[in-house]
Amino acid sequence: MHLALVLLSFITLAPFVWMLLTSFKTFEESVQMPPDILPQAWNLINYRIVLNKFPFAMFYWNTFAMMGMTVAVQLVVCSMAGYAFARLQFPGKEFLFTLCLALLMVPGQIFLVPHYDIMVRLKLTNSITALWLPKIFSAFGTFMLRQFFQGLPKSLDEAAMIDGSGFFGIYARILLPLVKPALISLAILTALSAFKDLMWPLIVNNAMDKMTLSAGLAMLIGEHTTIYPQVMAGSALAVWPMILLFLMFQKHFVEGIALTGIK
Amino acid sequence: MKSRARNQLRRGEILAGYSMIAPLYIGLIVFYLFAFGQNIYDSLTNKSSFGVPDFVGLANYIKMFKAPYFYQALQNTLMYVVICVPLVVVFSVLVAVLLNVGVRGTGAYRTLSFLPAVTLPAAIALMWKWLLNYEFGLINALLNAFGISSIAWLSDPQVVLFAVSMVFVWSSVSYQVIVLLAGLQGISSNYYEAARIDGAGRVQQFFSITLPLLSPSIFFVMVTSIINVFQIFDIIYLIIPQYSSGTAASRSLATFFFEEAFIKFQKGYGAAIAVALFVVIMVVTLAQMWFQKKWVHYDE
Amino acid sequence: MKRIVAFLMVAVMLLAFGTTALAEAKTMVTFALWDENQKPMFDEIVAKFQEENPGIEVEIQLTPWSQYWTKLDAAMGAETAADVFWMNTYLPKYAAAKVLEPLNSYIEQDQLDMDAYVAVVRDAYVIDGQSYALPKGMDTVQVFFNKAIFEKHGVDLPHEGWTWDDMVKLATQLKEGIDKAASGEYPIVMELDPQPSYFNFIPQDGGFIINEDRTKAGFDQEGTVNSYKKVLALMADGIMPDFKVLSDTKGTDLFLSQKAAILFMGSWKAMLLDDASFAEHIGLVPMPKMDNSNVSVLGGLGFAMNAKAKDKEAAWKLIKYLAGEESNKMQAEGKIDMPALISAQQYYAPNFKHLDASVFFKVAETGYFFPTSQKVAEWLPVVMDVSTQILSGAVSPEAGCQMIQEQMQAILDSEQ
Repeated sequence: MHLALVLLSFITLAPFVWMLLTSFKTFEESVQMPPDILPQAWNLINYRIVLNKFPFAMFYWNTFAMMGMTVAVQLVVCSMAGYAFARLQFPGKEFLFTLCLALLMVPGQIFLVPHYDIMVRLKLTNSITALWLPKIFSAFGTFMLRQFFQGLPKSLDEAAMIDGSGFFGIYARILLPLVKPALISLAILTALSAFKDLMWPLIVNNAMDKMTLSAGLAMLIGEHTTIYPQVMAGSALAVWPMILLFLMFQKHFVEGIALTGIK
Repeated sequence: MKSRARNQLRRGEILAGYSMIAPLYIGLIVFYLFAFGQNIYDSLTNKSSFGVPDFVGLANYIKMFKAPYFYQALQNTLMYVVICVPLVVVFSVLVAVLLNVGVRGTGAYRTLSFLPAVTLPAAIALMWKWLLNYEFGLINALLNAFGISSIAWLSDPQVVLFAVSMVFVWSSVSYQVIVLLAGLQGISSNYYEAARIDGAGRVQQFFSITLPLLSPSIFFVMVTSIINVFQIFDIIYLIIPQYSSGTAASRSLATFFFEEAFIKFQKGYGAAIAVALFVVIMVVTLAQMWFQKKWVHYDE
Repeated sequence: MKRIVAFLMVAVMLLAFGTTALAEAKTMVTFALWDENQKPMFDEIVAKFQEENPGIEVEIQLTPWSQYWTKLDAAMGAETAADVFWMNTYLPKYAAAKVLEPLNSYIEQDQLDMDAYVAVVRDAYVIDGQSYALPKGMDTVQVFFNKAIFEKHGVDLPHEGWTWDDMVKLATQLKEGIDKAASGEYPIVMELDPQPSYFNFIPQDGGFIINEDRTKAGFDQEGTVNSYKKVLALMADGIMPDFKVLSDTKGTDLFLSQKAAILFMGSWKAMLLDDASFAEHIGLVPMPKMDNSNVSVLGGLGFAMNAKAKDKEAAWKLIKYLAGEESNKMQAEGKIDMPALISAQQYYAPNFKHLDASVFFKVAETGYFFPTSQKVAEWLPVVMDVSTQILSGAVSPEAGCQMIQEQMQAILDSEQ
C-alpha cells in the first residue's frame, strides 16, 4: 500500500521537481546527456532573464484582476438568478430555467468567433474587461446555487416577509449568508477555470502587457531559440500562486471540486 | 381588500423574479443565444480579417467536408476520447480508492496528488514538452540508460497522439480523484462490515460494493472527461513544436478550429468547424444520457 | 468622513481630467513591433526621437511574432491598428487591401534619397511604382560551423566557394569520425522552415518558388523537386538527423548545445550565436553552391504607415527617423539588425566579439528577396505544410511538389 502511494507521489511530483531543477541550470548543463540531476550551482539567472524579458508583473496583475472580476460579478449575477429560480413564482420560469440548462451543454468554441467580434465592436480587445466579460454569465453557477437555495426551509422567507422584508431583502440579508459555503465553492471553481483558460485570453488579448499567465507562458517558447531553463523558470513563476492558494485553502478547494460531482 | 393585497404581492414577486434573472438573461441572450445564431450565420460567410464578409452559402461546409485535415482532426479527437477517457476513469478510481485507505500520512499524499489539478495546463504542457524532448529530455535519457533508443514523442506521427494522451491523463486524473474521493466518503461503512461478515475479500468488496455505489460519481467523471477530451486544446497547442512532423497527427478539432479561425483568421470557416464540433458533442451527450439509464446505480 | 470621500473623489476627477488635457496637447503615435529582443533598443531610439520632437509622444506596442499578423488583421478590421508598424514579406497583402499609406508623396516632399538603401530591400516595398514602407534592415542566410568539432575529428573546414558535393564529402568524413569516437554529434543541421532552408535550395538548384511577375508557381520545375531530394538524401545518408529530430529541437538549439557541426541559419540569430559560450569556435561561410548557384534568400523589414493614422505628419516623422542615420547606427551597434541603409552598415560588423559578420554583407550582394505576392498569406502555409510532409517522408518530392503547384497556382490565379 505504501509502495503504491510512494509511486503515485513520485509520478505526480517528478515533473514539478524536474521543472524546478532545470530552472536553476545553465543552458550547457540542461543540454548535457546523460543529464545531471542537480544543478552545479543554484543560480537565479534564468529567473532574472525571464522577468526582464517578459512583463510578469503584468501577467500576475491581469490574471488576478480577471479572476477577481469573474468571481465577483458571476457570484452576484448567478446568486440572484439562482434565488429567483428557486424561490419566486413567475410566468415562463420553467422554460427560462431549462433554456439556461441547455446552454450548459453547448461547447464553448461555438461562441468564440462572435465573442471576439463583440469585443472588437466594443473596442475592448487588449483589455482586462475582455478577459472576464463573457465569462460571468454562468449557467452552471446558476444551477448550482438554485439547488442550494431550494434546500433552505421556506419558513425563513415567510418569517422575513412578515417582518416587512421585500424579495430582494430576503435574498440579500437572509438567504445569501446561509448559502455561503456554496458561494465559496463556486468562487473557487470559477477562479480555477478562469486561471487555467488559455484559448480565450490568447484570442482576445495579443499585446504582451495585457496577457494572462496562461497566455504569457505560450510566449516563452521563443521564435529564435528555446532555452529550456528559462522556459522552466517562467513556468515555475506562473505555477506557484495557485499552488500556494491551494495549500492555504485546501479544504475549500476539495469541497468545491467535490461539489461539482454531486448531482 | 385582502385579495388585492395578495395581487399586489404577487405582482411584486413576478417583477422581482424577472428583475433578478435579468442580468443573467441579458448576458445569456447577448453572449450565448445571439452569439450562437451569429456563429451559424458567420459559418455561411467568408468572414476574415478586414473587408465586408460575403454570404457564401454552404461553401465553408463543403470545403470542410473536402478537407483531409478535417477528417484527420475528427479521427484524432475520437482517438483521444477512446484512449484518454478509460484511462482517466480507471486511474482516478484506483488512485481515489488508494487515497481513501486510512494509512498514516494519507493527508500528505492527497495534497501532493491534487497538485496537477491546480496547475496551469499551459505550464503542464511546457513541463512535459521538456521531459519528452527528443535530444535532451529526461524520459529519453532514462530509456537510453536501459538500452532503449530515443523516441521522438512529439514529432513522430506514430507516437505523438499517445504522448499527448499520456500528458492529458496525467493532468486530469487528479481533479477527478477529488470528485471520486467525495463519492467514496459517501458510502456508508455498514455495507463493508456486512460484506466482511459474509466473508468477502477486499477485491470482492471493491467490485460488489465500491464500484456499484460509486457509479454515479464514476459516471460524472466519465461525462466530464468525455467533454474535456472533445475540447482538448491547451496541451496540444503548447507541447507540439512549431513545424513539427507530429502536427497533423496530433491536431484535434478544437485545435483545428483555433488555427483556422484565429491564426489564419478565416473566421467564417472557423465558425463552420465550431458547428461541426458542436454537433459531434451534442450527439455524444445525447447518447450518454440514454446510456446512463442502463448502468448507473442511483441510491434512492 | 463623507466629506473626505467627496473631496478625494473631486481630487481624483480633477487629476484624471488634468492628465487627459495634458496628454491631448501632445500628438500620440503608436508603433507596433514583434521582437522582444529588439524592443529595448527601440525604447532608446524612440526616447531620442521624442527628445527631438517634443510635440510627439510615441507608444510602442509589442506583440509576439506568433500573434502579430493575426492582431494586425484584427486591428485593421476594428480600426484600432497602430499608426506605424513593422512590415515584411506580407506587405503586398496589406497594400492591396489599401490599408497602408502610400509614401511617395512624403518621400518627394522631403526629398528623401532612396538610393541610400540597399536596392533589393528598397524595391521589395514598391508596388506599381508606389513605396509602402521605408527599409529597416535585412537578413541573410549562410552557414555557421563549429570549428572545434571539425578539428576534433580531423576534418578540413568549409571554405568559401564550396559546393554541395564538397559539403556532403566533409560531412561524411565528420560522420566517420563521430561514429568512431561515439561522440554523438550531427554533421549537418537545419531548421526546416522555408527561409533558412528550402527557399534557398530551390533557386540554387535551378527551380523557383514564384516567377518575377508573381503569376506562376515554380513547383513544377525539375530543379525545385531536385532540391527537396538533395535535402532528403542528407537524411538518408545519416549526415543530417531525420525530420523527427529536427522538428523536435530547433537546429540552432542543437548547434548551441555543441551537438552539430554545420548549421544553415539566418543572420537574425547572429547576436545569439555570438553570445554562445563557445563563440570563438564558430566559423561563417556563404552557402555551398548547388547545380545553379548559391544565391540565398534576403529577408527584411520595413516601417509602414497605417492609411488611417490619426496624425500622418507625425507618423511620417517617426518613420523617417526610424529609417534614418541615427536609428540605424543604434540598431547596428546593438547588433539587433543589419542596416539596409548603406551608410550605417559600417557600424554593424565591428560589434561582434567572435563572429565574422562581413560574411553577411558578402552574401547579401547576391541575395534575392523573399518570394511574395498579394495572397502570400494563403499560399505560404500550403507550401510550408506540404514541405513538412515531403521532408518527413510522408509524401514523395514529386507528389508533394505537384500538390503545392496545384494549390498555389490556383491561389495565384485568383489574385487578379
